[in-house]
Amino acid sequence: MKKIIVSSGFLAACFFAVALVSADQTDKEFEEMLESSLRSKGIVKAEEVLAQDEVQKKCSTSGVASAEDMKAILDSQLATIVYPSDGKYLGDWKAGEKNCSEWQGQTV
Amino acid sequence: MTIMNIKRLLIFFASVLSMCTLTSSVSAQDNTSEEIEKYRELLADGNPAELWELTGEELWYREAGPKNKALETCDLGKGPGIVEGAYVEMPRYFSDVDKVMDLEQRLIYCRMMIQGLSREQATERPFGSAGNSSDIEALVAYVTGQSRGMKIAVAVSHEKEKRMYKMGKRFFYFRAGSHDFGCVTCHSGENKRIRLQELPNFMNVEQARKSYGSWPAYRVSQGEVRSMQHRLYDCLRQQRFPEAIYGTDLVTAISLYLAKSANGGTYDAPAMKR
Repeated sequence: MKKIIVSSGFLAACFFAVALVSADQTDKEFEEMLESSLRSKGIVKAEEVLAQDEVQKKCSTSGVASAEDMKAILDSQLATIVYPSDGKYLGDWKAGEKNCSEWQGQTV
Repeated sequence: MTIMNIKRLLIFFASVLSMCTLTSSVSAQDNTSEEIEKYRELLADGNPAELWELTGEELWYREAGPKNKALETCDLGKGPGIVEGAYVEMPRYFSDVDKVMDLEQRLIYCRMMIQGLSREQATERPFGSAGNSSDIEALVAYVTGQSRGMKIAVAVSHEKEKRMYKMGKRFFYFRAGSHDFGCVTCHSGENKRIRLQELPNFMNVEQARKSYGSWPAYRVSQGEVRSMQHRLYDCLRQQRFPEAIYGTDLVTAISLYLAKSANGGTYDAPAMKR
């Protein structure tokens, strides 16, 4: 009985190791594909875009995050919002209009 | 009807359409879709993409390149020279290169191997513009047109196809850049749009089939037939992502993921779009 437990533990460890290796390979393959297929253009820098931040990483899976994780992500991002220190919320609309007409929202 | 007449007719319809879009740019989304649908019906027998298909057919059979050979021996996956039904099974694994390729990568390969072009020559001007038409877009229009009416049927059975599919799926959910965009942002929910353009939800099989099955397409707003590579290139641009290098693997991976989502749908392209 002991033998069975030991060997199944070993097997499980093996599977775990295999799973780890294959996840690593997939990550590597994915990163290589991105790096070889995409290049910087204009204001969009490949290395900046491809270096995801922590939130982007968490939000890049096909699954749905747990309520707990969602709250943590939301709270962490809400905390980064900086409101105008002088309490004035309406800025120079002419500057805003200029941005709207002249920029392409960071596309190239 | 001669080609010149067809062209004149097209220019007329195109100007009518552009006037319509100018005067009704504030009208509702559904309304615009209906109008475009009517326009498509009007031109059902005269999609300008047919001109690209004809040019592409000519190019396919024309001897060219340093080796002065035609592409008619190019193997698109169903055997040398078999064009009919080839596109609906692509992207696919090709044993001669031990690689998964989409149509455009395969055309680059064939033009290099058969006609003796350099990679630079074979990838020259993948996207045409006024006065600078693209041989690639014409060839793509011809080859895809030879799958019209067939069922989309990518296999994803070879180990390398499975890997490629996995990469494409992973990228679909990959969020990055200044706006945290991923394909998933625009294409995983119902009733989304950019300006007046409806966006297909790739989680919905009917929409996936309709969308994937209607590319390449003649873009009325651009006056060119745009390939799948161009479609995804432009999606990435709008995602504020770095530029997709023409003929590289990422776009093939995404295409394979989208094609698999559309499997079973009837392929109906080159189509015509806004």
